Parts: sequence; structure tokens; C-alpha cells
Amino acid sequence: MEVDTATGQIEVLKMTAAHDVGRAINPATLKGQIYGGVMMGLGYGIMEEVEIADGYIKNTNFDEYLIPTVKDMPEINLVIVENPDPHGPYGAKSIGEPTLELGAPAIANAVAQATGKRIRHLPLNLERVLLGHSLSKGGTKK
Amino acid sequence: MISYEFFTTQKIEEALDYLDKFSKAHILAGGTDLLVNLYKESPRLPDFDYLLDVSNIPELKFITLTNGFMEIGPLVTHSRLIDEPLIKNNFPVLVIAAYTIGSTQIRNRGTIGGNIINASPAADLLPPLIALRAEVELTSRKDKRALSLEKFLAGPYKTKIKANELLTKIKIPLLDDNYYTDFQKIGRRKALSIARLSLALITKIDKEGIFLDTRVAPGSATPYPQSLPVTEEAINGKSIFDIDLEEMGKITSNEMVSITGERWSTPYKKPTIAVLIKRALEKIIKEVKTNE
Repeated sequence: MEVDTATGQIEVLKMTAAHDVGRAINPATLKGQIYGGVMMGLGYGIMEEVEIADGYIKNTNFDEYLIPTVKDMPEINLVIVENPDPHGPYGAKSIGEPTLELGAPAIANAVAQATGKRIRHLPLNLERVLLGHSLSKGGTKK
Repeated sequence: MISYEFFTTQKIEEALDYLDKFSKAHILAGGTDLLVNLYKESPRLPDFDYLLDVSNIPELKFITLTNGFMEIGPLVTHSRLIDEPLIKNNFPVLVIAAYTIGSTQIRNRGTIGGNIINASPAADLLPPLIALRAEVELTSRKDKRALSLEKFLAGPYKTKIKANELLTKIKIPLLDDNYYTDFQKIGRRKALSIARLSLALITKIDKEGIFLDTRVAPGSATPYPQSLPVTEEAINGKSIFDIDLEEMGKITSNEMVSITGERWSTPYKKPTIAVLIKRALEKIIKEVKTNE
């Protein structure tokens, strides 16, 4: 990753995802699942945020709720570990949710390593990375 | 549900007749802002009964070079600004800014005229156009007038266009070889991103390496895009060999805050705009030194 410590901009240059899948029954769809999860993890880590005001969601359109575009996605390196589970079908284990859980903490760790400051809230937007906290019209958020 | 009557035309004359006859008409060019606002029923939309589609008027799609001026038709798309050699050779700063707009699809539809008339505080073409000292030509059925772009902008999403007027030309004076330009932009992602902060810098460097005729225009920094005269004056007369970049950053930050006051976004924008002016100056200084 690269962190622009003067503006708070983050660029993820490469992501590696290693998963113990038990047995890869269909490697092509398995890879698709992991690529998709990694993308969601990057969005969760850097830009996706549901903003709520008085119990209502403020950003109800994709022009305000930001998800990664193709230009934000880095090279993804996959490591498929096959370690059959005797209880799973043909030795398979689940590989849906695990693919997206790990990206954001990995990005947060990389930001902490780059800036020396640990941020405890997601997403790691420009303000949080530069100032340590987010800003919003109503005042300072955590 | 917003309801309106829809007109389209292929001739400027006819468009002006419509505008003269129907005062509550809204103009549709590329539609990249308007259609979103219609979909959202945005409070930003003025009250209108007619939608006049001007996007099929070929006479508004020109790019010509005449007597030291670049003349651009308001319907020229962002994509065409990027691809057109005349623009690339004369105003690279406009190409860089146009390339940061939206996505390929939006750049193929969105127009320079629409970017000006929508007058968003975050409009990507406005900082470079203001810094280029662009002029706009407004035509009505009986009249024609020209205004500097900076004076034409009247507030966030507001311009001085009258109900019976159509933007018919953008005119930019050419820069000689001693001018250097740069555009910096910070967004929340790499495409389809509204500028969190941007800055256009244009300056002339004489033989001794002195900054002259500096123009600084930030985007998303002030209620609507405008130049920063105090910063410009501070840079003018300094030398590329010993200009104090930290000092220039401070002056820019302070000038921005003097215009906006302390706002919720100030804690982020104040240090960051200083970074943008420093980076723009550094880039130009490096370019000058490589050229020598």
C-alpha cells in the first residue's frame, strides 16, 4: 500500500488472499468468489459508509455511497490451500464471507504501519487517515 | 414527479426563439448533472415548465484557434477536450482536469458548457478555466454579451445567465511558452469521484526564474470556484530558486479560510490545500529546471 501522509489518500497496490477451502470443487467459481470478497473488503476498509441521520439513511444512491471502481482495484494474488474437511461435502469448507472479512483489517494495519497512528474506525477515509477522526456537517465523528 | 414539456432543436436561432418565448425553460446539454437532479427531484432544480434540449445543435460543437484565442463551443464534451490536439498542445491543464471527471461514459456525454452553467463548487473544469482567464459569450435573440468566467459565476450552482440567454462560446487567451500549468485533485476514489479538493495553478516564469502573472484557483475549497488573489500576489516576484513553499502553503490556507470562515470541513481542507499549492509549485519548478 501507499499512504499519502499529507493528504490522507490511500492506494492499495497489491492484495494477497490465502484461504483454506477444504477442497476446491470448482476452482473458477472459487476464484470469482475470492476476487469479489477482496473487492468488498477494500470498499469496507476505505470508502463504504452508511450515513444515518435521525434514523434515516442519508446516502441512498451510489453517487454518495461509494464502492470501489475498477481503477481502485489492485492486483489480487490468490493462494488456495486445500485441506479437506471430513465433515464437508467432498471435503469442501465454506468460502463466502471469509473472503471479505480480512481485507479491511489488513489495510488498517498497513495504514498504522505507514503513519504510526492506529485508527479504530472504518472506513479509512481521507479525514480519518490525515486527522485521526472523521468530519461531518453535524460535527466531529469518531 | 417533475413534469415538463420537452423541446429539441438543431439550430441556435430556434433555441433562442424558444428561450425568448418560454421564460421557465431549463436547458439540457449532456444531462450528466440534470438527469441525476431530475431523478432525485433535487431541491437544487429551479422551477421550470419546459426542457429545451440543445445537444443536437452542431454549431455549438466547435474548437477553433483564432487571433490568439481558443474558442470552444459549449457542447464540446470532456472526452473531446482530452482527445483534441489543439487543446492538448495549448492547454494541457484543461486536459488533465477533464480526465479526472467521472468515468468514460460521463466524459462522453458531459460538456464544458454544462460544467460551467451547473456551477458546482466541485466542478472540475472551473478552476483551470478561471486560471486560464476564460470568457463566456452569452447570446439572446436580440443581444450578445461577453463576461469573464469568474464574474459570470454568482454563487454555488448559480451564474449570471438570464432566462433568455444561451451560452454560445468559451473563449480562452493563448499562453506563450513561458507559462507553466498544473492541476491537482483529491478524491475519495480514483474514478467517478467528486473533488474533495482541487487546485489549478498557472504561472509565467521569466528568464531569471521569477514568477509572474500567477493565477491560483481552487475547487471544492470556496462556496463556488474563484481565484485567490492574495496567494497570486504572494507568489508573483518570488524566484524559483528560493521561494518558501511552506510560507506559500500557509498564505493559501489562510486565504481560503478568510473566504469560507471555519466550516466543518476546514480541519481537513486547511492543511490539505497548502499541500496542493506546494505540490503544484514544486512540479512547475522542476519542469522549469529540466527545460533549462
